[in-house]
Amino acid sequence: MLSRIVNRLEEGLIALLLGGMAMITFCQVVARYLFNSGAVWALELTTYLFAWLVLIGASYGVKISAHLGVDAFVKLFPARHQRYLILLAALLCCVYAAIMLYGAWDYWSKILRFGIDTEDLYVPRFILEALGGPDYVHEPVGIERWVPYLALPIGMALLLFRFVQATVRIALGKSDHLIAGHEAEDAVAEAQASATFEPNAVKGRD
Amino acid sequence: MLFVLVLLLLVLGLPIAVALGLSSVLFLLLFSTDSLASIALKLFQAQQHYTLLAIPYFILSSAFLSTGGVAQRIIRFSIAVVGSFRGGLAMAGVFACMMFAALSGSSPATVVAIGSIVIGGMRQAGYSRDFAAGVICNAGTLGILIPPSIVMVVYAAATDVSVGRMFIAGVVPGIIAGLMLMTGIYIAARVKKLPRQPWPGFREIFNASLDAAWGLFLIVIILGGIYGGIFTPTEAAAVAAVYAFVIALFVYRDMGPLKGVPWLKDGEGLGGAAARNTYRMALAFVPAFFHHDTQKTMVEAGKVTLMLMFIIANALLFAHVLTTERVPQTITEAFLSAGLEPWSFLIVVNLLLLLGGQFMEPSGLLLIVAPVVFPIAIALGVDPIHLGIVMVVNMEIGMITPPVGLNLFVTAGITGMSVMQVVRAALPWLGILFLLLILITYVPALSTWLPYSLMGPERVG
Repeated sequence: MLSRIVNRLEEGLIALLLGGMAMITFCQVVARYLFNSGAVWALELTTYLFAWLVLIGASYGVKISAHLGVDAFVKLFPARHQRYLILLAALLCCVYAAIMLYGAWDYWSKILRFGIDTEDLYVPRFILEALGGPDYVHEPVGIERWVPYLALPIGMALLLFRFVQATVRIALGKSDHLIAGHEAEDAVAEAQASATFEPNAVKGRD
Repeated sequence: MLFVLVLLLLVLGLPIAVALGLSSVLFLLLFSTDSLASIALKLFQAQQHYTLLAIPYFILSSAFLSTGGVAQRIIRFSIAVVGSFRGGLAMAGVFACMMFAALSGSSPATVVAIGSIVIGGMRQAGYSRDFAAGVICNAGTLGILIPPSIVMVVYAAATDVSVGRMFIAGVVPGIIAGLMLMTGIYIAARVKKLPRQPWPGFREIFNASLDAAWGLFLIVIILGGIYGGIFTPTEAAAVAAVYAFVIALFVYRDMGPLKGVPWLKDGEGLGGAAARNTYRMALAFVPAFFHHDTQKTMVEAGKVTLMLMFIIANALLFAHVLTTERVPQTITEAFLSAGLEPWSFLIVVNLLLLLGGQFMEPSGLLLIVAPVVFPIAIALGVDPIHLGIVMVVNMEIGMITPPVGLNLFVTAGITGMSVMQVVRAALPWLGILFLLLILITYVPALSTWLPYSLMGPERVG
């Protein structure tokens, strides 16, 4: 039950971030040509959404073993040794995630202390008004840089969590792969099942 | 040393992204004074790169195009045009791959979109499974040569050449590659006495082209928009993604809330149909964004994006290590003092990329190799756009050679063959791609003539 909620949450977030990015950039183009204007914050916001998509999404990629790798050499070994090799690879992944988490935390806590603003992002006016009442007169309040950069520590922590999880599963013998090798093409099989060869089936509109 | 470490980790079966990242981090910890904080920041900054922002959009638009029935209409059109030659269905497959490549920027996406429909059809028409799979697996690699192309975006980001020029430069080599594959098929079909389709008549060609026109118009938007200076490649990609979404859900209606709603019912007047369609589309406008099919496509595109971008982010970290260690400079000096000619240099580049392409994903490999190779090429007077196209063709070959060949995996997935069977099936056609590589390498004009006559020469700062 919990895993299904988490799954929905992860997929929903990925779809939302990707869709949001595309819509913002598209609206920028439309605004430029139709209304001869544009929002200064759009580009910066898009790149932050992109960073969230990739950094937070990386852990989801580990969960569904979507990350690409070479398993041809490991497959040459007898099955018993294979498991140890994969376990070693998984442990190295944990080391990577741990180092990155440390670095991410180090950087993030620094910018939190220094309190640097983002370049063009401000707290939206309606939120300030909601907080301060309708006749609240305000200076624009900048969003500090630690907010978007939260993606680094959160993303790396999740990545470490998923890698540790994968390592444990491999150690317990519940899983036998870490990367997308040959077996991860279920999605393709699905696509094949839904698409059949009917050159005449699309003639509907003439 | 650094390269040995990466290779070792790759062979051990680490994800490519982690192999690149871990070796860079270890190297920096041992031999450099860079703080871990600045390393982590590099991972974040990969997504701040404006050119690379085009990648998720191109992936998203291909996702909508392949699930949204555009592929099926392109195939119908190609069969109408070239199907009546001997071996016509296979040639139509190549032609369809070329057209889909002009809509999408990725090779595996092209194989899935076209292959999952055409391979089955070819087998029904009496082609052997190996022949069908081999042809499509190879033709699918055109996805990264014919613009738009994710690999070209990555090359442009790594070397600061213009994405627009790279895109236009891919047009001529892409068409040549397609024609070479079709010629190969025609000869094979003559020898093997493969079947032909009946001549459908001009009426069917016309109708099929009308039906496919909505999808094919995207080519005009992307190339015309970039070439005409209407928008940047990144914006073009975003517009393409939104356009593909609209086409799939509202025009072709093969997915989403309007699935199965006809444009014109039997015996309905034009006015009535217009009113009904307007009403239905207005009603479906908001649900379309949240429909199950839309979400599924977005998540699929998201998965591909994050997988690819995580590799790219780590490859950028790796490239950063290379430059801080002055590896490119050292290699450049060694090369220049060895007195290498441009042509022998290109041979070295080809060998390096072909070898590297066996183990690496194309975008990651490009980001590692480009910073090393690019300065040498410029010093030797090799054209930057030409070098880019040579690299892209190398990546194509890398995609159909094991152990890491994305197209092989995908073809194996859609045909139910084992990867080794696909490798064997694709092998005869690999020769054609090698021929193409030699041609592209030694006739620079094929890559540079069109972009330079349209947009002027590329200047490198």
